[in-house]
Amino acid sequence: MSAAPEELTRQVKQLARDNRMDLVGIADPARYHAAPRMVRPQAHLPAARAVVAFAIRYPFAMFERAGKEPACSMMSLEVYQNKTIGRLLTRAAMRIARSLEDAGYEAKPMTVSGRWRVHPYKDIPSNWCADFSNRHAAVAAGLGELGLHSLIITPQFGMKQRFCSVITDAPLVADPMYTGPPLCDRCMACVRVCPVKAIDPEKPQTLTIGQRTFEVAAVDHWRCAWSEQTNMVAEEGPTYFGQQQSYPPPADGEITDEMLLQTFWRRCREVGLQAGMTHAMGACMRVCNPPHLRGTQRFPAEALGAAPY
Amino acid sequence: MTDAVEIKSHVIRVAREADMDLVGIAAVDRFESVHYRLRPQAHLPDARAVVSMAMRYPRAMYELAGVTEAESNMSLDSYENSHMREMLMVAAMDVTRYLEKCGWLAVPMQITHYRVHPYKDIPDSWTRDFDHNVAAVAAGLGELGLHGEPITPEYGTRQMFISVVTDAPLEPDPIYDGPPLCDRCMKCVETCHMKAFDPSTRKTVTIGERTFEVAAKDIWRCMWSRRFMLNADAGPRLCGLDVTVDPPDGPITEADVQKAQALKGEKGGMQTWYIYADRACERNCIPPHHRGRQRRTDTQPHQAAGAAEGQA
Repeated sequence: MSAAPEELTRQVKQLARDNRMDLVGIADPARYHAAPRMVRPQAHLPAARAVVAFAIRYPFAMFERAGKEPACSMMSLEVYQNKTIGRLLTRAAMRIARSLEDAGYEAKPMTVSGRWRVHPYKDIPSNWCADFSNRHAAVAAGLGELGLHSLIITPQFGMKQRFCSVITDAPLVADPMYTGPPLCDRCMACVRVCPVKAIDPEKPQTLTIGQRTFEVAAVDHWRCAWSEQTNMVAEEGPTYFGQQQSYPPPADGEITDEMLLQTFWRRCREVGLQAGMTHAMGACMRVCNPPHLRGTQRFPAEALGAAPY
Repeated sequence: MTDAVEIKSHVIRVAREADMDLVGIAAVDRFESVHYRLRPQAHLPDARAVVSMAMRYPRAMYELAGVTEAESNMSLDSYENSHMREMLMVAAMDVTRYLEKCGWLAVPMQITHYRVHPYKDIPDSWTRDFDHNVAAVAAGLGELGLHGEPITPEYGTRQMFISVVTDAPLEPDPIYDGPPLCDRCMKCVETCHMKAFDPSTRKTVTIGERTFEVAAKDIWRCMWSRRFMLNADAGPRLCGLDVTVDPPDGPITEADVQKAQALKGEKGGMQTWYIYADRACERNCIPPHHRGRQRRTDTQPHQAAGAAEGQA
C-alpha cells in the first residue's frame, strides 16, 4: 500500500486504458446516499471507498449501420456487443481488481449487464434489477448523465459504449460529477421509437446521484424485457436475422411471467432454428444522440485520445 | 488522418499483436460476384478496403484430434468454438479501433451467426452477412479449393478467418497467383460423412481477376453434421455419443432437423450437450506442398502481407 492515492488512481486509470477502455472515472460511494441499501457499493464491499467505472466504445459504423440497407444486418452489433465487448469489459475489470489486490486492497469486479433479479428482492423495489448498476456508477464517476430513458449518455460517445465497474476499498481520488451542457434535451425520440411503449414520460421520476438529481421517465422493465431480453418484437432486431414473426406485448396492462413465457415458447416453436440466432437492441439506445453529436459521421477525434486504439 | 501507407503497416502490426498469423488487404471491387447485400459496401457504403485476418490452429491440436490414444477432440472443439473465435473478434475490434483512431470508419464482421433461410433477395440458406472466405482470397491470402473453403500456402485449411470493412484507402495486396493449392485430389468429396458435395455440378466464384471452380454443396446436408452433430462418425463418437440419425433422401427441411435432434436427445441423454463434429472436407484437405510434412515449421516461408512488409 505504498502508492499515494493520487498515484494509485493514476495507475488504475492507466491500467483501464491499457485494457482498451475509452472512458474511466472514479466515484465516491457517498454519492450513493439516495440509492437502495442493497445496491450501494458498501453492500458489496463494506469498507468500499471508491468505485472504478469504465466503458469501451462501440465501433461507430457498426452501431450506426446496423439494420440499414442493403446489408440489413445486426449480426456484428449483436456478436460484438454481447460477446467481445462484454468479455473485454470483464477482462479489464479482472485486471483492475487483481492489480488493486496486488497493491494490498480489496476489490470486487461487478458483472456486465445480463444478470437480473426479475422480481423485487427484499427491500429492492425494482424488477429486472442487477445487483449493481454500472450506469449509475458511471454517472457517479462523472462519465455522463442520465437521459430521459434513464440510460447514461456521455459527452464523448453518446450512447455508443458499454460499462462495467470495480468496487474497492482503495482510497482512490473521486472525479467530479459531470456538470457540462445537458446531454439529453428531451427530444422524445426514445419515447417515440420504443416499439413496446416501455417509456412513459407522463410519469416522471427523480433519481439522485451525488449532488445531481435527474428527472427520468418511468420505464416498464417488463415491457422492455419483452423485446430486449426475449427477442419477440421483430422490428427491434430479429427481422434482420430472418425472423419475420413478431409477438408484440399486450397494448396495456401488467405483464406477468406467465404471459411472457407462454409467448416466448410459442416464438421458439414458430421461429424454429433461427430462434437461437436473433437479437434485439433497444431502439431507445439506437436513436438517442446528444445535441452536440447530432449529424456527426464519426467520433470526435478528441474522444479517441485515451485508449491505445 | 494518418497517411494511408503508414496506416496499412500499422494495421498489420495491430493484427499481429492480436495474434493474427495472416493479414491481407482486399479492394472492394473484388467482391462483385458476391450478392450485393453481402458485399463490403452493403455494410459501409463508402467502403474501400477489407482487412482479412487469419489465426492458425495449433497443428498438433488439429491433426491429432481423435487419432491418438486419447481419442479426443475436446481441445479442438473448445479452442475452435470459443477461444480462437474470441481472439479473432478481439483482433477485429483492435483493428477497427485503430482505424477509427486514425479518422476512418470500420465495421468488424462477425463469425458466429447465420440466417437459416433465404433472406429478402438472398436466395441461399445458412448465410452469414459477410463472406469471409471470399474476403480472404480477395486479400491475397490463398485460393478457394474444390470444397469452397480458402486454402493458404502457409496453413492449408488450418486457420480461421475474420474481416474488417473500412473506408480507409488501404493499398490492396495482390491476389494469390502461386502454385495451385487445390489439385482436385477429391479427398474432400470422398471423406464427407454427409455426401454433401456434388463434384459433377460445379459453380464458379470470381474474385478479382481469378475465377475458381468449386463443387456444389448441399448446405443442409453439411449442417446436419457440422452444426447439429447428427453423424457420430464426424466426431460425436469420440465424445462418447454413438448416435447417428440419417437424413432423408432428397432435400432436408427444418422439420427434419428438429425431429432428428429430438431423436438424438432421447438416445443420447446428457452427452448430447457435450459433443463436437469436425469438418472432414477440411481435415482431409492437404495442399500438395504440405503433404508428408510433420510439423508447422516444415512449411516453406511465404511472403504474406505482413511478411512482405517486414511485419512478420
